[in-house]
Amino acid sequence: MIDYDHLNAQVLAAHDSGDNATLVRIYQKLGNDELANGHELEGAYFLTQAYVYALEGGLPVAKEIHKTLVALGREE
Amino acid sequence: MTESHLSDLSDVTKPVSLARGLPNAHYIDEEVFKEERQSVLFDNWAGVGFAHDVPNEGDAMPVDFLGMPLLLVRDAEGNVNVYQNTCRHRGMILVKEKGNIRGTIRCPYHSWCYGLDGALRSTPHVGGPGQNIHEDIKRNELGLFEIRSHVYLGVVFVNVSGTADDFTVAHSELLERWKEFDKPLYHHEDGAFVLEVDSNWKLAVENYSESYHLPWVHPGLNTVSRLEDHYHLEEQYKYSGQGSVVYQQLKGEDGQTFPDFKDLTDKWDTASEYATLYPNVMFGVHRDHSYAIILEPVGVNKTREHVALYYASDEAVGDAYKKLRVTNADFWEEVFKEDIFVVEGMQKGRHGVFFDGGKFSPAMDGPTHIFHEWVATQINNGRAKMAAE
Ligand code: FES
Ligand SMILES: [Fe+2]
Repeated sequence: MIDYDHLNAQVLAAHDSGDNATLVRIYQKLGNDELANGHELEGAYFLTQAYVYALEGGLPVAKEIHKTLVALGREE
Repeated sequence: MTESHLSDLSDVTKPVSLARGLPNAHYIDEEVFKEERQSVLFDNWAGVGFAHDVPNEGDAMPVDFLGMPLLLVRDAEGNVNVYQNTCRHRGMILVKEKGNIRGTIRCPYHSWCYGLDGALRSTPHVGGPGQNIHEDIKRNELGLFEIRSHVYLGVVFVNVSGTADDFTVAHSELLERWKEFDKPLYHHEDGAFVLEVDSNWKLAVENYSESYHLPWVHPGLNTVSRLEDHYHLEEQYKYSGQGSVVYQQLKGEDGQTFPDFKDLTDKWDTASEYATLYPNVMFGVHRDHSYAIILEPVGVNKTREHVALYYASDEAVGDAYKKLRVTNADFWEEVFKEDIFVVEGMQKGRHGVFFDGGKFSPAMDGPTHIFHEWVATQINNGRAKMAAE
């Protein structure tokens, strides 16, 4: 089981400190897990969050997430 | 003849021997201030910041220019771009504080993301959760509004209206006159200061334009730069100011002087010039340093003067010149502070209901009159445009 309370706290802390790398890591993992479980909508939702923070932070991982979202028809 | 005009400018555009200065309303009336915001400041090339405010790639600085939200950004090519600091989605202010953009500019509201080139890069969930595209959201039509800008002698100029001639055309005369100074400039933070002045911004220009006040307001300059050593700079409708033929370099204890700008003609061995690039940037050039003063019109009777000093080489902004630089900055700060009481005093004087714009000395006030004439012309242009609409 995912410990959502713990995740929430992590996300909030990363938001507060502007720690984009951590935000991306958390959201990307959530997104990929959802996709792996066949939940496209939830997966795309989390990957979008990851993508935006990767873009904002100028993180190279943005490329990879972008590719996934484009493949899902959810980004251009 | 329309009677709705906020002021009568017919005397202002007369020759200096007959002219009056701008009427009181141009210094104390909020409605006229609004009119000038458009006709004088937005329709022309106004200074809004220094290039060194955003020294590195991704550096961004928001500027509130008479209420207009601007964003100065240094892009990957090293150029300074200026955008309207307003998100294309719901109009949120994009960047609130000066800082470095590592990747894209993310709107804090719904996280639309813009590149340093202003392009809209992502629109998260715009087509519903997890769907970032929508047929009606055409990203190539929704980039940030770019404001025309140009960097000259360290200052970022913008033409908000987009209707002015290109900067290099509009200001070709001063650019030509000072082409020898149009070189890489070196700034150190110890050569920057800000002065708050309780006056309309134009009075700072008017005072800066003339040398008439030097013997009285800057008695310390009497020994090094007397009134008779000065000449007028007068280019009608373009710029005005004053020059001096006796510039002497600042000397440190051991005779140290700042390195000169390269390849200057002999004239500049002893000359210095001070001019306002209309509307709101006052420059000074000397063989070994220049400076710029951006007048930020905070309100009809409030002005912030942003001063920055520039030197000719990397060496001049290094440690070896620290002491001399501080002495130089202190000198100029002192001089500019000496002007504050007259600028504020003229502001107060403009509440005198019988003041008629004043009587110019044809011999001494020519450069000041040229500024008045230019301002009046801009306002007349604006009124003519309004009338034609
Ligand atoms: S207002 Fe900027 S994303 Fe909505
Ligand atoms: Fe002065």
